[in-house]
Amino acid sequence: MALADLLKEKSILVVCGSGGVGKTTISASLALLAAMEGRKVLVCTIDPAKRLADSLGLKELGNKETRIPDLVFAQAGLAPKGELWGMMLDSKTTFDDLICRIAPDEAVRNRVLNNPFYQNITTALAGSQEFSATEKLFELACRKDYDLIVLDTPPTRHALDFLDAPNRLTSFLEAKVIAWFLGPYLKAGKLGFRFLNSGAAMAFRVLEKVTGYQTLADIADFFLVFEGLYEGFAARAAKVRQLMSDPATAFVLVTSPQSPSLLEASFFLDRLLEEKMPLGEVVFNRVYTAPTELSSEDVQALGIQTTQKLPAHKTAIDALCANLRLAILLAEADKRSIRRFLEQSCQPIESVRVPFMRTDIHDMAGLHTVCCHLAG
Amino acid sequence: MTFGPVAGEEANSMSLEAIFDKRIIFMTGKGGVGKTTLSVALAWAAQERGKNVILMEVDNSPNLRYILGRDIPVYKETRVAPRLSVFTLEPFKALEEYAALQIKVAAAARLFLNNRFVSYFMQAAPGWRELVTVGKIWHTHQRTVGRGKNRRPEYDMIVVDAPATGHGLSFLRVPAIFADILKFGRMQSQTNDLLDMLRDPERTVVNVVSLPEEMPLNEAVTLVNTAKSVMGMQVGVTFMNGVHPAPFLPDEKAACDNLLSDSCALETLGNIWPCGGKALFDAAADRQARAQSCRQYLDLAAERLPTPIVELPYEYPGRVDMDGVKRLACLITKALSGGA
Repeated sequence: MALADLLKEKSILVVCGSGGVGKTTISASLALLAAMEGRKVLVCTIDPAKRLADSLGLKELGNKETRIPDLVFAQAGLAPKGELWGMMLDSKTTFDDLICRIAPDEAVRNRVLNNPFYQNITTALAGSQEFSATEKLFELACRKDYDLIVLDTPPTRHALDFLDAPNRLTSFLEAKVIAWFLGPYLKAGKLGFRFLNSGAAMAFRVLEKVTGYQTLADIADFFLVFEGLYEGFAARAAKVRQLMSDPATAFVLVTSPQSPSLLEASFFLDRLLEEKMPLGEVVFNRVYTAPTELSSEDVQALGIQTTQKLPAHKTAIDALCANLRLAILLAEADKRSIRRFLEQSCQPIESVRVPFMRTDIHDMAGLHTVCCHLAG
Repeated sequence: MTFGPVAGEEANSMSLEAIFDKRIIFMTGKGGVGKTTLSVALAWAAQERGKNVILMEVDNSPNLRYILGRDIPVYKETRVAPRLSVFTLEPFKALEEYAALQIKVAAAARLFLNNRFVSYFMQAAPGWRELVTVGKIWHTHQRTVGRGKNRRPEYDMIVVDAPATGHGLSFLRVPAIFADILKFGRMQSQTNDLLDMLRDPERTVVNVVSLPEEMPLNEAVTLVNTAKSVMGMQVGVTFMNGVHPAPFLPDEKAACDNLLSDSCALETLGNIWPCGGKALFDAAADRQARAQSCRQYLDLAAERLPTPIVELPYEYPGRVDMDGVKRLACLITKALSGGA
């Protein structure tokens, strides 16, 4: 499906990619493009560049959705037919909201929220951002307030982390294990550990010895409270998963056209295929382009011809030609590696190229330039 | 959470060359800034000075394999040059090793780790990965070779290619979090050993890798501040990677300006080149704009970062192989020994 159709027909775009490839810029540009075409779009991002956020009027927003004011568009000479909304994802708040939603009463809620172990899970645990991103996405998708939600995934070294993390967290909190873990604890009461299950007893004894008792009590208490919440939690996680493979969802993979990044990208594509998750588009970002159709040899020949006519300007002409030839070589290198990537893929890939811009993108006008390249 | 007085100002006056005398060097920064490349380059520079170096990679990244042009087995010290080894950390393996040390009997350790609860717990329990990772680094730095008077550390220097910030911060933060949680027990004293190692300015330094772009720079600022004031670690230098150099030398620039002001010459050129030679000038403007943008962020970095800044040039795509790394190592050596 072409990018224009994705933006018209899908209701969720999940933008993935390894660190530093420009996910946030591409996410915002995709959202802008859809809004220009008349859809009501929300772009949900984790950690936008401050200059970009500021220039879009997205300061101090926390977990709240905010509409980009008309003025910001007008200043860039744009008049979108739809609406563009933005929000910054706050992982901790999303987790807390989820607990509030699934907790049966205030006492349970507070016990979870105040548990030191819970606080660690939500802040220090690798993967908690990814989990809360999908959780927030699910919440937003259920509300159906938007025609399209563009999710900019958390910055990770590997694009794959985004797919792995939520599962890791749910399997960690799995009820059966909790029950097994808690069984002896519950039987022992709160004052001591006397285990009936010998495997658990041994595990406990070692953990207790190594870590000290207090920690285990926090953990046990967390699981004790959470046990009642797990069903709601797991049901939600399953639905989130479903949403990810829904036909109305598509993944957009952002990659640089250079080797290590492409290597990661191909791992990611294989994995999407394996998980039967729909790949919408690959965006090659920061691609070197040459400002000419001439080849490096043409430039060299023209350069010689020119210096013969203008010997006084030889230094300048040589420098300019060398510079242009470098641009051509870089562009050719990128073109080659992109072609190789597309040829080696085992599934047909829709792709689009965004050139290496002169400066970084930090305002609406810049995003619109990216949009023009995305639109082809 | 804050920890006592910070090495602070003294840390800043540390001579750059002293970085080569540290036992443990953390290389950290936002994803995609070239941490792995610069970690290898720094390790290479150190081994060229006669140090026995091990590069410990926290994330198993395809980058390292790409740079070295060979496969590196996970959790196995692999010698890639006479004085340079690389090691890819794997938390579960590190945990197994740790448990075996604690429980003494390897079979019991395996039994413990294969316990259904424990293996589940370890799969997602917060912080364990980071803690055993730092633990493995600590353990490696403690190892010695030789006996009696000849006893010396097995590795003079450990270069740690830390995970991307965000995760990178929590990775260094975790020992402190654990020290806070653990009330007593053997692990508490071990965690304190880790903290001592991380916070000892004689042994340990954190370097930051960044790019002359907004987000990586912001992240570098956060990282430097957190490492210094929250974790009480010594911060060394910020490597500004990927600096696009000015496309023209000063005399070339002057010659170009001269050409541009010569309308007669421009007309001649325009008759030879398609579109009046627009491509020549566009390509020049492209690279000049990139170089200028880099310059602006470097100025901003100098303003916002308390560390010395080492500039490293943009390496064109496909050039970051071992030769590229050696070029970078030369530049790093030059910069750190006062040649920059």
